[in-house]
Amino acid sequence: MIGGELIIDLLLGCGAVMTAVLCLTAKDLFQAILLFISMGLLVTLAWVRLGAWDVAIAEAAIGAGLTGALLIATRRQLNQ
Amino acid sequence: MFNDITLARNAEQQAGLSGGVLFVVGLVVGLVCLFLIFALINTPVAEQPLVALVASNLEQSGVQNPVTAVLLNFRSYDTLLEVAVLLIVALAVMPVSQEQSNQAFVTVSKPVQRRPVLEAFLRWLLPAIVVTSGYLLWTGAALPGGAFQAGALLAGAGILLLLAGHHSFNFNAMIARVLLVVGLAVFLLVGAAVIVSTGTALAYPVAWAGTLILIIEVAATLTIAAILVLLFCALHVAPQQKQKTAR
Repeated sequence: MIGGELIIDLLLGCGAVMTAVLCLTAKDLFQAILLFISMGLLVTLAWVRLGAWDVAIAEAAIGAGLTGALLIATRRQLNQ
Repeated sequence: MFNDITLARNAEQQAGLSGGVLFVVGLVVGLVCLFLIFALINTPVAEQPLVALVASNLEQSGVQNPVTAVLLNFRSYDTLLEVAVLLIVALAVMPVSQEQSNQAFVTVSKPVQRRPVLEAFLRWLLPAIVVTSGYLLWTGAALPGGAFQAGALLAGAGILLLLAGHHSFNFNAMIARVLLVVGLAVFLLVGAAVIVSTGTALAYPVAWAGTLILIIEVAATLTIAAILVLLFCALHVAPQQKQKTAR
């Protein structure tokens, strides 16, 4: 099913762009961080669809996981 | 507080722009995007001689994964410098104190605030993370994976430990300092040692390449994990210490 795969790819691409825009325009910091993490996961899936497994693993571990944790820790420090 | 102020200022600036200006800016951005898309479509697919080059020399690299082969054999100088950059970052954020250097690396204490779900979750997750990280490191020779991914996973385990609140890391301890430099040190040592057999720095002898790459990757994984956790610690601990001194 080429059509099905195309729809999934389009959804992934549009989803990544949408979450990126929402992340940049979000008023609430926590909301922005969560959107950043979800964008990271969507981008990871996009890398998987492109066949770049190495980049996908690195993006999931560093981009979505570690950076998200660092951002949440920073936000906690900002509130104190 | 600071963020609220900047956000409010941005909102004021946005309100100041008239609809006409926004429309023109949007139109220009849209046109440029369209132009770029057409340019991309019309550009012929470029030949990639590098892919064939790597594939034809893969047997000499000691690993079967082309990405690992490029990172740690063909372009290992790049990776060496990346590890060096990480060490410099670690030195920049490291809280330096001579008094703490004699204390233990990991201290276990009663957490201020207990998180039962996270603690129960950690008991299951931590061993799994460590095993997965080892697997990613080992499999990096043949499949996607390697030192950076394995190190990031290990660092994730360390951050989860920190978040649970039982453990705290002291990066001035001797073990921690060794962990922070071991990646670069082993990389440099191996890179220099191969001069004896091949005459060129970082050019591994073909028979030993696989083993040498694995040794470098194990050391690099430890260092990457330690540095990433240190980054988190620097964020996590420093302001609390400041508060204590302020009191």
